[in-house]
Amino acid sequence: MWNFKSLQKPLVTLFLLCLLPLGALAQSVVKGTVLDEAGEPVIGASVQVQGTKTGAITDFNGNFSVQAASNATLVVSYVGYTTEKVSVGGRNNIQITLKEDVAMLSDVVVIGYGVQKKSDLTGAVSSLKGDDIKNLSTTDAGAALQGKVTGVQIINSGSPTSGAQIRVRGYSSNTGNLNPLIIVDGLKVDGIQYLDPSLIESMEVLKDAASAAIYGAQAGNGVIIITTKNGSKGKPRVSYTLKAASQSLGKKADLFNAQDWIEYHKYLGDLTETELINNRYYNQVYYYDAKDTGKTNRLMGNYFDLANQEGIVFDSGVPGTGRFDTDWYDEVFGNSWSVQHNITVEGGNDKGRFLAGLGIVDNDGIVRGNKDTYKRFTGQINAEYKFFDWLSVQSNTSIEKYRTKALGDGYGSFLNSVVSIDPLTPAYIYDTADFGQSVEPKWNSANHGFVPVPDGYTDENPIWYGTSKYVEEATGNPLARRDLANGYNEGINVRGSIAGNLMPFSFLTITSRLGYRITQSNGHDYHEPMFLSSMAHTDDYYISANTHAGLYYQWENFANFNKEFGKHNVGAMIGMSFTKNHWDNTDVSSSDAEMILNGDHAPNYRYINYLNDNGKSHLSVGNAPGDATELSYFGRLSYSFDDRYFLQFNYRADAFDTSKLSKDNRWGYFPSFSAGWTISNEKFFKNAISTNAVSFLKLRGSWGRNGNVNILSGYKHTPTIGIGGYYYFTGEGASGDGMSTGAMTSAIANPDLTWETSEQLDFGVDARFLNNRLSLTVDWYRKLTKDLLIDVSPDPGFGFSSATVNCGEILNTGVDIDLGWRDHIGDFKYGISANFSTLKNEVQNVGSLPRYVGQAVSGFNNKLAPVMEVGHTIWYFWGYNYAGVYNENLIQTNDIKLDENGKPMLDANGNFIPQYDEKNWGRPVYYGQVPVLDADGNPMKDENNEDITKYGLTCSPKEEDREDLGAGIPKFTYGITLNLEYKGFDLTVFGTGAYGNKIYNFMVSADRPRINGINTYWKDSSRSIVTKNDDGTTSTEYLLGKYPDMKVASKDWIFYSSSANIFSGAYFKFKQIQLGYTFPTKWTQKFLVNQLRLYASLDDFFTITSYPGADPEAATTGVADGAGNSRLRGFDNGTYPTSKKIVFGVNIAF
Amino acid sequence: MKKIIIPMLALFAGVSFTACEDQLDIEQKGVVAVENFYKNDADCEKALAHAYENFQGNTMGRAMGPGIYTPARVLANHPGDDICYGGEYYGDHEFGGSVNEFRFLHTPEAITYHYTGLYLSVYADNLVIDNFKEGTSQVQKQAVAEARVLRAYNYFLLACYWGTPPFVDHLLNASETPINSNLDSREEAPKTQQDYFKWVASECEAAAGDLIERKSPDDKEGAYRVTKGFAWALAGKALMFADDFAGAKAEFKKVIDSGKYALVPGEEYMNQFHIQGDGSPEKIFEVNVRYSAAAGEWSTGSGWGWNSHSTWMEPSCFQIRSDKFVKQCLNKYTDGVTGWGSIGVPEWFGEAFALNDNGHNKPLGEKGEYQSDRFKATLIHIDDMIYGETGIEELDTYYGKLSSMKHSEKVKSKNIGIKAGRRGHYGQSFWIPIKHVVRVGDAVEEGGTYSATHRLNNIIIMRYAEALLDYAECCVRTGDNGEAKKYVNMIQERAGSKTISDNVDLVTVKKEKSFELWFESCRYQDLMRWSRLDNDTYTQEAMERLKKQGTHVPNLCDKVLEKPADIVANWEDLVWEFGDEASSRFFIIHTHDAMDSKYEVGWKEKHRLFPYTQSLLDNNPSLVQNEGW
Repeated sequence: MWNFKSLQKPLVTLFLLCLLPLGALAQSVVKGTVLDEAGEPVIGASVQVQGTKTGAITDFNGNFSVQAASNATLVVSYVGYTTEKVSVGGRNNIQITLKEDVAMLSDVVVIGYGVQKKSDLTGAVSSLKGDDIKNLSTTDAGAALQGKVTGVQIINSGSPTSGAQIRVRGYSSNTGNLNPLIIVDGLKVDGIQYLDPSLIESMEVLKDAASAAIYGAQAGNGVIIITTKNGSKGKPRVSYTLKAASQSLGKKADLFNAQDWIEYHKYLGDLTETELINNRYYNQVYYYDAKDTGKTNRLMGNYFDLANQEGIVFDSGVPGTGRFDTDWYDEVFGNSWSVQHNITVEGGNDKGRFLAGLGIVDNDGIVRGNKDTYKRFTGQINAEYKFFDWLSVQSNTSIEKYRTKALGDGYGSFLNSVVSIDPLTPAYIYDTADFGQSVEPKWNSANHGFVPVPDGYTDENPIWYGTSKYVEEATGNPLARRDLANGYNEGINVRGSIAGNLMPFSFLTITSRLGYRITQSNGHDYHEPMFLSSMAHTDDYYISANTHAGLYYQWENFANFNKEFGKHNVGAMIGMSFTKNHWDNTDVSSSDAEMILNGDHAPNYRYINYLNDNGKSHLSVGNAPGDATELSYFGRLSYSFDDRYFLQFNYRADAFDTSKLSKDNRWGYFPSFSAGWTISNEKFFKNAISTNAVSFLKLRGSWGRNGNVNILSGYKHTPTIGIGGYYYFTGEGASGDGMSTGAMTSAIANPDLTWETSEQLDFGVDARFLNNRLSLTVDWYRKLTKDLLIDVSPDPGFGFSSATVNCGEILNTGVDIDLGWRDHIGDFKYGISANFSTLKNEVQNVGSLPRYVGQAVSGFNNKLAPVMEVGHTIWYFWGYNYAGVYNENLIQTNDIKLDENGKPMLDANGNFIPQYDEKNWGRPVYYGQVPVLDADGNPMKDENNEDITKYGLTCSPKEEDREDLGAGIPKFTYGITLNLEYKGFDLTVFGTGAYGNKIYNFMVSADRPRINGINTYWKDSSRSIVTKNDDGTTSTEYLLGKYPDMKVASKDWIFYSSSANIFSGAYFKFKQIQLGYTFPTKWTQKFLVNQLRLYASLDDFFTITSYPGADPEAATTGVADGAGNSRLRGFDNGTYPTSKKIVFGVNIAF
Repeated sequence: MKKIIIPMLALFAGVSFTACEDQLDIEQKGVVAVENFYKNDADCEKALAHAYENFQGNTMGRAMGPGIYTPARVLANHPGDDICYGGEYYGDHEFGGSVNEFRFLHTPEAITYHYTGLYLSVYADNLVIDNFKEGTSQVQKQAVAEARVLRAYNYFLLACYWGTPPFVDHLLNASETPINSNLDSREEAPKTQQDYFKWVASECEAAAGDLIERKSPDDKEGAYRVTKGFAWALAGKALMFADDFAGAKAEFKKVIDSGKYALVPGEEYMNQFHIQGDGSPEKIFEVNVRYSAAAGEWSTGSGWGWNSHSTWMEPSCFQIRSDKFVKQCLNKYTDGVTGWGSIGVPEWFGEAFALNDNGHNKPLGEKGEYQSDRFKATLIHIDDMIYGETGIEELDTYYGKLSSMKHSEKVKSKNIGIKAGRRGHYGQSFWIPIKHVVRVGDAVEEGGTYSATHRLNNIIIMRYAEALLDYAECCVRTGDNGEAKKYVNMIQERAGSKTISDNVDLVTVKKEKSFELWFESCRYQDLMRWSRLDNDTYTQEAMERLKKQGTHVPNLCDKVLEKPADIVANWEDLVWEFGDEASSRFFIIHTHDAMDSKYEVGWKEKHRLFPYTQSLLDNNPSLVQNEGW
């Protein structure tokens, strides 16, 4: 990697050479004390005589003594402090003050095709060092960013196989792909789940457009640049880390248990004691002798003794003797381990650096058994060698092998089944009489109707999966779903880059870099017909094998120029890049109700090779290689004067291939400007303000343009004729003959399609106060995205139900604040850092449409939809606004008192008199447009004879009364990290949170009221309890709750599509509470160990939230439809829950 | 060193800025450029195959909407007075229930998808017509003629449901905006619904000359594509809808006189709705549904899979809802495939049909009471379903095997019947519909999978029986009652009906049509037409029933398992199957959950036409909403 360090080295060498002749002078003992800025002694600091091997370590009082020439230079260093060089100058008692190396003042930041001193930055760049993320239990570099960087939101799923989603500065596209551009060691990667956080040297997030503009059309969602570690000069170092995390289920949703479920459904009137008794639910029952017609003598007995007795009448079950109360969370999820090993060897000398690392991850997800696993083996080889002063070569290679098994999200999925199956269904049953309602006849039919049996089933020892007698649900027993899943994916990825740096002059570096990704993956799946309910069944045998292979490469050539002219510093960069992605995937599958494999489908026959003739005749195959290319030219000019004034200009021209954009429209141009002013370096400032008070103050401003081309693919700009489709004009019987192939135009042509373009303005302040102990960075940004790519529904008269067009604008504005404090009191060091980000997302234009209604989750019939509309947050929840429960104090606007003639009665002021109607009690009331009534109580009409309406209360709102009920996007995210260190002990407490995001919980459903779900509505529902009086009349007691009478609302789509189902998704999560101890070096060195640290940590252990569903963060991943879609952010139907972890770790360095 | 630097700099500059932009030109695979297509007969055949596929999927099939119903069937049948929308309970399958009770509040999915599907299908037709209208080869002329008739049928439905929807008679360019045809300034645009029907007829007449004719009643393939016979029949139907009865009569007469169609014998009546009846002599036009392993289940990437061609999941809606029964019923018929019991019939229809065809309203029962072939193919009495051919005769019960049980024991057995605790079987009367329940073989026969989620029997567009009854109506309306009687009697005799009419008037034809063509997409369209033209009591009663849809939904219950007094739901009007409690096991209670939830239910004048859904109006501001919506 080209950077300033490689330029500095020859200079340092030159300097050292000049010093050599002076080495022959007289030696004497030099004593001294090393203190910190607070005047406290620095213990263990290294004092080296420059140019010699002589040195010493300061003692408990900070004192040292060393043999040195009177004109020698002492180099004093200590971790965490800036290294000081002090000339002895004939003294023999020297007091040396070390300054804390706060905020890494002279740090270098990677900015894309180059580096820059952090203090020279003019854009908004967040930089994270390896130390900031060490010892996190996550195996995903993306997840490690969470809560650490302002302006970046990370959304984690609980599943071990899915990577974290990364959002930089808001949501500026309606498309699924909102991830930023990620560059690892110069290579554009497709994700960073593979990257072990412990290998990371630094991560830079280019947030503002000016910083990101050098990446042009791909930088619209921000850019993350990651540099992996490399060896450093000095003794070779071997280190080993072990992390073992015991994982268990985090937060459960508040689901019904058996007792609540029975109580609820009896109240609704869709469950009776008779049904429960008939379903063998009770062990003990009350009954009457059939002859006891007056029912005078109630008896109690064992149901199973009585079931086949004649002449008895069952009355009810004995409370507390129910046979099943299944907590499906507990049945499905359990403890599991995730273990990581990492070993690295690194070293270097003046010529080169080398690092080799091996990592192993074995994460068995929290679903019991081994059907959700993530196994990964990675090797990293980083090397750099300087052949000549003017030529160095560098190479980074990462080799990854992985294997995953995953269980699905979405309608009818495994995870949906955990929250939807009723608690009266047992996990396993041992008697066919306990089969679910449609299972028994199946079991008694041929092949046992493909009713699955668990492992261990024998005719002598029968055991079946529990199936519901109460709900014909779409999901079935989750344990069966788990056991029947056989799919897995595995593959190899090689990601690497090789770069040559040519340095013909000290001010010029020319780099040529080839980056590549070689990917190869295989997927296999197999399943058999199965029957769990009339809605959850598969009728076919199915086998598939997928082989995906790809090669991506990018070739970049760029030249960096950097020269100082007095106080003027001029930098320039110019370059080009060519990228090609090639893939060649083959997918094979076969599926049929008759057997498709030889060998009676024995496990060792479950491969495509062993298809029988039937399987072969049902074979479906697919293959078509594909390519994508892009070509770019880019450049940068930077200028600074006297470390006070900074200017930068970036420009990039990008072109994409014809599958994305038309030939005439392929080039895009992305400029940016930025400027900075370090006020603290101004004389007037220095004169006025002590550097102790304000150590550093800089103002920045930038403007830039980026693009996003992520969703443009498949030649959407050009119409073509697609050959495909068919009709049978002739023939019958088995297939083959008579099929006529069809052809028609493939899409509405839109040759003008272009990328989404964002323009962003950023103003920032960097400041450090109180001797650099307090640091503050504040940025304000305004990011306007234009030409949003939207799939619109044109009038169907045009022949297509959807077309992609550029229309729409989204504005994201926000403030990012980073705050840090570091200090120490004696040996007690402490630091606290916090970051806060606000986000306001607003759609500014959706073309000519009043609103753009997105597809809600398929399979669920809810009437609440994700919508884009001008003036609102993108993909807000468009649903009914629930006002409360109808009661004496909350009635419909037009419920008015009428006289005997049906005319409204008026009060003294001429207003209508409200009329409470008892029969409406308990109904949900909503806000909506209600007719304005005239004095006769008739709706008033306007000139078009339409009702004049006003906003009011109604029990029957109309479609158009739906409102903005909030969105899944947080308004505010934050992270807080606290570090404490004392004599080898260290404690880290790190938490992150979000506020202002809403979650729509739709586990409960109007069309399937018997499925399980959150009990929130029932627990706080209004109830009308009718009691029979002695005189035969009835009286009703009304209990008012927050939610309506579920007798009315349980099948009401409007209620289940209203704000009553929208919950605050705000949370604060303690991501990490870690206590570590580093053994004293003196002690460990006896065992040849330079460093030994042990730690224990509670990760993701505590979550503070009011959300009644499971984890509010996982509910925000947008995977409710199984695919992951930004418009479904906050739709929660039971996603993979997150786990909490107890982590034990060891770090050893030799 | 300098020696190296200069060539290196030159090399750098060279490679950097001569990079080849032609690498960005990547040819699209698997497609033909538009300008190279629509040239020859082979292209024409491909375009036509796609028009048929679109007709199959977008007009008659799923229209690519949500998977569990076919909008064409929902809009044509569910608003009828002879359908109850069932399911597990009220609210199950709202897309059908809300249309059935005229209470669709939310963007009515079936309406949106049918409208969209019809226009997508029209587009596929226009691709053939516009690109080959100047064609001179026989292939091209015939293809254009077939596409014109397919398009005419699409517009027949569009006009039926929306009155004067946009008239898209050519491929639109981007500057054109579809607008209601009555507001369309072009002279050729139909200005009224009647004009639309007339245009449909004229299209069929114009195309007929270039169409092939079915070879004989045994020519199955002559039913799988548009023929002269279908063009005439559609022209007749369209003219009848345009109140041109003489014109319609003439068109239907051409169909009859062609001799290419015939009614199948009574014992084969049931087969019409199953795979054995595909291409039967009675089929004037039907979509040929076939399993295709090559096409894949859902898609091949560029085309549709065989599941997209069939009525995927709709069969599940029609299938018997087994979880409502203690033991699954009709197993022999369905081979254990179960579903959701979404279609029911109201008591009036079951009674009227039974009395008409069978001469009584009793089950087949032990005594083997007479039932007509037509009736047996359409409905089954609950007693016959529970006690008769249940497929569980070998079930060992408390009383012994069901097959050896006496009737007196069966009626008391708790091991069979309708489950307790859920207020019976929602939306069902004593007569359970089976006409469209998937029968063993409806899928397997053509190589597909037999399951609840699809069937492979063809989708009927028009059956000869419909043409005959429409002809009979036109005859009566033009005073030719004798001719009408001939064909109505032919239908009645074939059905095995106890009623063979001596005199045939309009009401006779209307009744006959309601029995013969139950759930065959005629009733609602006819009622809208008849209520406009006629004032007879029969029509008035039907319209009254429509206005009360949703106010009186039957729930079929079983007293052995649940006493009326135990049913906690809000119900009224208890009816015993044989008049009193003592002689009956099953009873019906009536509910009105939609009204209880404050929905307005029942047909109103505005329902003569369906609304344009809001999203259509949003996307096309030129479109004007139908009156009352």
